[in-house]
Amino acid sequence: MLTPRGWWFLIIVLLIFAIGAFAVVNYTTVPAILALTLLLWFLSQWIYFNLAANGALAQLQAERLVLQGGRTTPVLWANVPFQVRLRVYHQGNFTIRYALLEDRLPAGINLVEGHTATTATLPRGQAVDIRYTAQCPAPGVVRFEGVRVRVADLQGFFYRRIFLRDPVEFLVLPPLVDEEGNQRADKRFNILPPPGIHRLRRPGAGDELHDLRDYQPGDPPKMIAWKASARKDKLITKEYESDVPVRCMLFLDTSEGVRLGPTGNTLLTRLAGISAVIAQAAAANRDLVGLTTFDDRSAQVLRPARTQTHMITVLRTLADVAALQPSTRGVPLETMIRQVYPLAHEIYPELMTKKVNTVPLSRLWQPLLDRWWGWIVVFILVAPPALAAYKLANILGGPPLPGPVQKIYQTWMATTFDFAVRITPKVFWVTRILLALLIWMTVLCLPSVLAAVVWLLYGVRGWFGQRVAELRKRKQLAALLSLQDGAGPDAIERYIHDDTAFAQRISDFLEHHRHRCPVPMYDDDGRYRYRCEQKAQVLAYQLIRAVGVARDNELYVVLADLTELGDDLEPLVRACRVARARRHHVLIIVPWPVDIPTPDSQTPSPPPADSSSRPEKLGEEPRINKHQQRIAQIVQDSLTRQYHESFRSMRRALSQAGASVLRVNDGDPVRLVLDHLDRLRGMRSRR
Amino acid sequence: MTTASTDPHLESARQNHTQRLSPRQVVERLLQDERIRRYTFAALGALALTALVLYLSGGDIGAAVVMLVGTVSIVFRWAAGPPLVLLVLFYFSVFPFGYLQLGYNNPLQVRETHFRISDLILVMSALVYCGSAYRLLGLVHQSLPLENTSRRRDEAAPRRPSTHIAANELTQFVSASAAMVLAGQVVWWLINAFDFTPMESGFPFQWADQESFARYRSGSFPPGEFSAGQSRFFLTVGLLFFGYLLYRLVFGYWRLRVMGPAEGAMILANTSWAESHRERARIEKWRAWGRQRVLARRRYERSRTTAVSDSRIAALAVGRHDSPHRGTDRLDNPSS
Repeated sequence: MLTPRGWWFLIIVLLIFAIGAFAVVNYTTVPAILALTLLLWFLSQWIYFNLAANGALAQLQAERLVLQGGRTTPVLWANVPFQVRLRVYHQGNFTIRYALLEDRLPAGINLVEGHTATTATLPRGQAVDIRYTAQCPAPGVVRFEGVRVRVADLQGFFYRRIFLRDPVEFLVLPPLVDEEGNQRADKRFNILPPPGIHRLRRPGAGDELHDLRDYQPGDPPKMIAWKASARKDKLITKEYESDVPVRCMLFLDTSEGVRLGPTGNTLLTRLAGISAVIAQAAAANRDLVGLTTFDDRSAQVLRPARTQTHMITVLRTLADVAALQPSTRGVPLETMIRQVYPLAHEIYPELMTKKVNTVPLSRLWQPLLDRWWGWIVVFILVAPPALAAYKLANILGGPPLPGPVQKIYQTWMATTFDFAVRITPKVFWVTRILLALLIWMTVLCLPSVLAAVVWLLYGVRGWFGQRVAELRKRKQLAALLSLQDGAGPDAIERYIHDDTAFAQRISDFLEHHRHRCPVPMYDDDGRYRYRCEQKAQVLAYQLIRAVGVARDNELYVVLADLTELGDDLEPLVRACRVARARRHHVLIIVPWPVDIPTPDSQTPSPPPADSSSRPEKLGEEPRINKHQQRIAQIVQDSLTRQYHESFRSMRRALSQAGASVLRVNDGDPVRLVLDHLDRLRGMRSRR
Repeated sequence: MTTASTDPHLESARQNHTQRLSPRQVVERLLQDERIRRYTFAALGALALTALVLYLSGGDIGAAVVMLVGTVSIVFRWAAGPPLVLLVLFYFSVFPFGYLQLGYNNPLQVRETHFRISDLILVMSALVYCGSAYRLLGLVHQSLPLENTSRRRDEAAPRRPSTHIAANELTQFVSASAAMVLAGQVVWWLINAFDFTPMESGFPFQWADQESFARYRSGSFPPGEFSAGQSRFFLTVGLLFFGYLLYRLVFGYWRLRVMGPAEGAMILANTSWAESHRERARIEKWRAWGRQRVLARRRYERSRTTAVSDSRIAALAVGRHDSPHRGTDRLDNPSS
């Protein structure tokens, strides 16, 4: 592909050659020889670039190694740096003189050290390495798409871009923590005591004697240490160690409302991180941990267990759900195309070029018959010649046309003939007759000509304007998607015409490539689109189901965005009452949006800046901005107040049902969960 | 397999290839970076040689203008610099004294100007200048075109690091340039050594009689015979046409050979769609019409159901005694 630099050079050289070889060659041959030599040099560079492009670029290969802790790994840990080693090489017969290689960094990854791009000369068999260290700040899924390769000659005349697709996905597990909830990078399960034995001994219902204490009313008589009581002359009670593990069930909200936000910084990611810490801390205490992920339609349950395999399964599940994206339902198709078209061009450049994926002009032609009045134009186009042909065919007599049509026909013929005779100049009679006939035929067919012009103008309109660009983009994307589906050319036209199918397929494409599309938060009526009120019902059902299968007092930790559910919270309130009636603990952790101040730290909104303090040279526009800022501030304050009120209502309703409610940014939720577990452990009924 | 480079200095130099340089940095790199300096001197030397040849042929103004434009375009990183120098060179070759007056009209000029030393030096120096200037642009300004038609604010134009310049790169370039100069002379001689003879049987080009002046005369020629200029034109057009045809044949076929399966499938799908898109579009329009019809029917049914329910509720609310079967009939049998 010629660059603008190459085009300009070629055009100038050809111009000089044309003038030098054919216009001024009798005066001087220097321009012709100069241009010819430059042209030969240009062609030699062109040929070499094509040789390298076909012989080496097409055989380019990439190998990727991802190392964490010095070893290759199929999964990654969040907040732990990992190294990416990328090796690019080819076995072609030519040298790529200049290439820019760039690894496509997945979204949500922080580059810690090194660079993702490098320039290189690539001879046969010699590899180029790209090494960098990165870190995933949050659990989820990381997708490496491949390497972007841009090749040019040394002069910058020719250019080609390819993408070495090497898609590989890594699950990013939440970081490992110890029993106190502190992060650590290595696993130390093997130093833990056996099940039921805690480092911090506490009274419970085990077999081992823990301590003796004074009798308290209510202690069962069988716990009285009679010998000790006799010696002390007062009742002494035996205390046994607790050796019964407590079961903790996590309920994680994965509805679309918590999936909103940039990659790695969503409410769901934070909730999943907290869930992971709680699960690991509880497991470190040898307590059983289960996980239920739910949204507004369904739920997935992992029953409580204690094994390392189960913990890994829990972490994998958390990483999976942390990578979930909000659906693009309701997003305008144009917005989605704006997102997906550059992505498709970047990852599939060879499939999106005009050479292999094009739109012919005939497809852009605007069909007239799509409009109802198009049929009228066609009738006007066809009717006069058809009438004339019919009458000519029956010139020696034939059946007349049906009544009114015959009358229109006669009037039309007579009027046009009269008009032709009147405007024909008075010349020699033979000429006059011929001229009059010519004019008459022209006037007869004038409507057809006008209709043809209308048809032409209407159809040609399709070749210009915004519609062309939109149709071309859509067709190219449709061809790419149908190729991926293996659906063939049928699907191309279907995606062009069917907005619903096309939007759904684009959404799948974006999700497959882990690309987040901005979604509208509110619908046309101003309602919040991601309230997901059905999730309260699903959660309540799962909570009651967990109560139904519970063996002992359990702790239910609900990590869900329930703030804006309002009256739809009622099923959950009832479920909490059921759980509390069975002596279970319910702890609800609510995520808090980053852009909304907490009720504790709410500060009055800053007053808008004084317009007099602004520089005058800014003119009128700052005043408009200030007005908009003020409106935005008012709306923001109103939304904040509304959110605080919703949170208070929710907390009141759930607290009345016996559940503890706290915000995710209010203190240390992990510590609080562990305290609840300890409290539960002490509440076990003695033997 | 070996790794291309592991030198940390080279690596750091490679990584800084997207920072935009200030004019001062450009001059510093042009003169202080040892590898870039070779190209700088090559370009300026070639420019000086060009100016010298022009000066010796009487174009002192042309020499100065070429020198000025060439130097400024390097310092200020003008991508249009080399074509501009070529245009200036062309102008002062045709009009050595600067004003629009052609010299002596000599039809035999073509015969007498093969392998002239001054032409060789001039062409060689112009070629070296163009190549060096473009390579310098890649080293200090931009080596790859931008991805978008309009430059984004955060988009950095990549430069070729000077560490990429091989030790013998300039030598190879100058040697290739010399070969190209000789090839250019040979091709120019060949272009003028043939007569276009379409009326003759066999190959339509024949060696021209070098002793004869007839093909250089002006005026009309008998049918089937062409002047030297016309033969040159036909030969040039033929060379360009058939050369391009050969190029497309060879590289087009090669491109098909190295094409990936996805690309091939895309070509097939695209071709198939292009041949049948009218029929497919018609079918899809009917499908869309069918969907709309179903939706409209559902909407109509829903509105009727809602209206009937509302009317029954309203009737119950006002205590009107209506037949219980009437509403049921209407619900069950829409045609009623």
